[in-house]
Amino acid sequence: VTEYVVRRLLASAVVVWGVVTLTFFLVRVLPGDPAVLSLGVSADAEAVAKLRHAMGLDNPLVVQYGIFLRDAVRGDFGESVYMSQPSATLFLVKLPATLELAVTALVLSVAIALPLGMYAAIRVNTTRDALVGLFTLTAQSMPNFWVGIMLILVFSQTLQLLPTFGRGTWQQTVLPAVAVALPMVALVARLVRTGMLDNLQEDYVRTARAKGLPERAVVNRHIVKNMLIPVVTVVGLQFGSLLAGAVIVEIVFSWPGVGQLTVDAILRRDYPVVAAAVFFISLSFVLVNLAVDIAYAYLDPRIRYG
Amino acid sequence: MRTGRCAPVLQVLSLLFALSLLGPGLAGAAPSGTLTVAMARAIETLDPPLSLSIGNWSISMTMFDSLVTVGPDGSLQPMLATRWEVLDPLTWRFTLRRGVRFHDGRSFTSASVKASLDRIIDPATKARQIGYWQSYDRTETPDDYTAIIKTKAPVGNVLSALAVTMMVPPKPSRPLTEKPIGTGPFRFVEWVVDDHLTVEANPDYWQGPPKVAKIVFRSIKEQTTRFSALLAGQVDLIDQILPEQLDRARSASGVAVLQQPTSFIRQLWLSGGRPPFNDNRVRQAVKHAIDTKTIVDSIMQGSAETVDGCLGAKVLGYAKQTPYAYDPGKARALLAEAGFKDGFATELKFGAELYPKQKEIAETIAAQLGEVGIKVKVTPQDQALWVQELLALKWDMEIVGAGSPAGDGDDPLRRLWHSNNKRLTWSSPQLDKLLLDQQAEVDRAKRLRTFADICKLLYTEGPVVYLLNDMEIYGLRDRVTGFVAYPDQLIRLYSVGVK
Repeated sequence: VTEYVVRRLLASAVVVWGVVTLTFFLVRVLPGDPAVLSLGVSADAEAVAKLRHAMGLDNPLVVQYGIFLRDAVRGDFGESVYMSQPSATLFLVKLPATLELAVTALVLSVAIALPLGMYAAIRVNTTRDALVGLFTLTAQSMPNFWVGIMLILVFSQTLQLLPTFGRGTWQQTVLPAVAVALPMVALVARLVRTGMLDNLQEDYVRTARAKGLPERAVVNRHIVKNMLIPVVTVVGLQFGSLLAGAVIVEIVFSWPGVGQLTVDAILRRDYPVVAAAVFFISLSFVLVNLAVDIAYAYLDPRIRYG
Repeated sequence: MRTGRCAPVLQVLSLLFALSLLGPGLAGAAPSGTLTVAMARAIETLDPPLSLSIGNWSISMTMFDSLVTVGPDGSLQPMLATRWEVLDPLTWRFTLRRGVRFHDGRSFTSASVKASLDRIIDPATKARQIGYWQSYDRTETPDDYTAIIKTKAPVGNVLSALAVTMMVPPKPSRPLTEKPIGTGPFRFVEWVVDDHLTVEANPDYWQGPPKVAKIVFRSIKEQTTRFSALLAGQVDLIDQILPEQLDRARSASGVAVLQQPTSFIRQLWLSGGRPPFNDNRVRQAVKHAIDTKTIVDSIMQGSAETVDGCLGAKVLGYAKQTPYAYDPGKARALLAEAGFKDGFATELKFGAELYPKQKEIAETIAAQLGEVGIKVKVTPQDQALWVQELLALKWDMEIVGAGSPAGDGDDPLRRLWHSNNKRLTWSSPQLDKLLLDQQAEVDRAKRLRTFADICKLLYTEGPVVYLLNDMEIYGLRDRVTGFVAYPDQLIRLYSVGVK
């Protein structure tokens, strides 16, 4: 397993390098001069030229890339054009807030989706099953940011039960976490329902029932464990979209994570911040995927690494 | 030797102002309560000249003071400088206020003026405000309370630039980006990036302590969230209420709405150096064909006003003009006269997300021009692409917005319209000369006359239709007292209190 992990880590490093390099050139190919965007439409050409020089943008692209790589391996992605702080620091300081939101949403969605999906499977083809189906379909079709705004309008502006924005108390976490979790709840609940239904037809379930095990034990001890493998895969793969969802929802709730920072950086062509954001986000992606692969071994001893 | 004409009057006024402040100060009204402000704009930095954002400037102004400041009517008033004189067109002498201390206890002297200006033009500072000081030469400090600012060329807007240039201590012990030290009414407490920035009352402020003990600034970009936070009472003051939120805001209990015309003017630019807009008759036809009143009334719903100048009404250099009457018949006649009896096809580009209602405005313009035979393709763009094509002159028509952040007509007029800056395909030697004249004119009255000539020329010949003057709309909880809105959109909180 150690050898496998080392090999995967090396491959991950290549992936991260590839993504960062691709982004480096992509953002520079996009129209929009960071110096002009920074100084505004009314800036003098001379001031723009000075700023371009200070930002190193007057060098050939290859030279810029060389300098970028040299600094990046030391963890230095350059200073943000707008915030005058190292972009890696800016990003990392805010990352915990985003992770907190994403992980809370993850826990929340699994905690809701597991029982919900199992309930629907046990009550298959009843009105209640159909209601769960309607809910999951609706939840999956609603965009995060819209859900966020609706939650604010209902629970904050009208009912005044929960705060509109910010981070720090559990009350402030509820609405954004729900907004991020909702599509995930829908996805996982559907998956659990299907998994349950498939497993209910399996021979081992019939055997377990024939042994005289109570239905509760059949479900909890046998079915759940078998059903979890595809769920873990999807949850792991979906962690990326959960992060992406968090980034959008953060902006709605003014949650002090990496969302606003990243979106602003892209819109304003703040290259150093884009680079830092892409690096750390892709790094967390490959690490989560690795963790998911390792988790398989514990859930299903048949899976071996080779 | 010439003396700033309004300096004596302003001195008296400022003395009266200072005395009026002593009253409550002597009565011992200690600062109390916390004011929470949610702004649409981002908080970018703690070091004042590193930002060009009005939101950031508002925050800087709680902790820092400038030599001169702008009043609610747009006039320049003494602040850390008590009086000033123009010694010659390249030399300005400022007499500094005595007894002013920085938050770290050091005295404010001419060395601070020199340090504050020198660092802006030092490339190592990366000051985005550098545009205001392009002609700065040096500051001389004959004594602690006299600062002589020398420029390389005559500069007419020195005072306006000083109004947005915050005074910082020479050689601060820690970088200002980490620990801002100013002479302002509030002291820095903490900044949690993208969450909040807190300042507390400076009990030793030279004008007397402020009314509130603490201000918490938040940047809430999402309009619905900002507005909901105000309605739910989670914040006390917000900016940028949208036209469609106005009715809801007015009917909400415990909330007051304050509308203030700004210096921000949205205008339609025509590519006047290329056919068909190189013919002034075509340009005038467009001016007659657009009904700006309809745009202001039905799209902006009272969150904008029509324009009768080429600058905001409170900006130095404003000169009233007669707007073109909405007259499609005359527009058609002018087009026919110019050889476009059947009209022509053209394209209108604009930054879709830049300002409220851009798309609706563009579509209305297209419809109105369609009435007189000009077929307009409407092309919304994202900010980065928009700026790029605007500056590369890849456009026939553009919606451009420009304000006067320092309350002076030099920015935007010279920067946008002088042919050296290549912002348009159209240029006029006469306009170029007038623009340089006002820049170099240190006599205010002469400068104002030049501005009037510039504006008249833009109205009669310029490839520009002035569309509307945006209003800033603030929402306040009832507990907020003493808030005054300024045309420069800066939020000034020194005399604001909470109940």
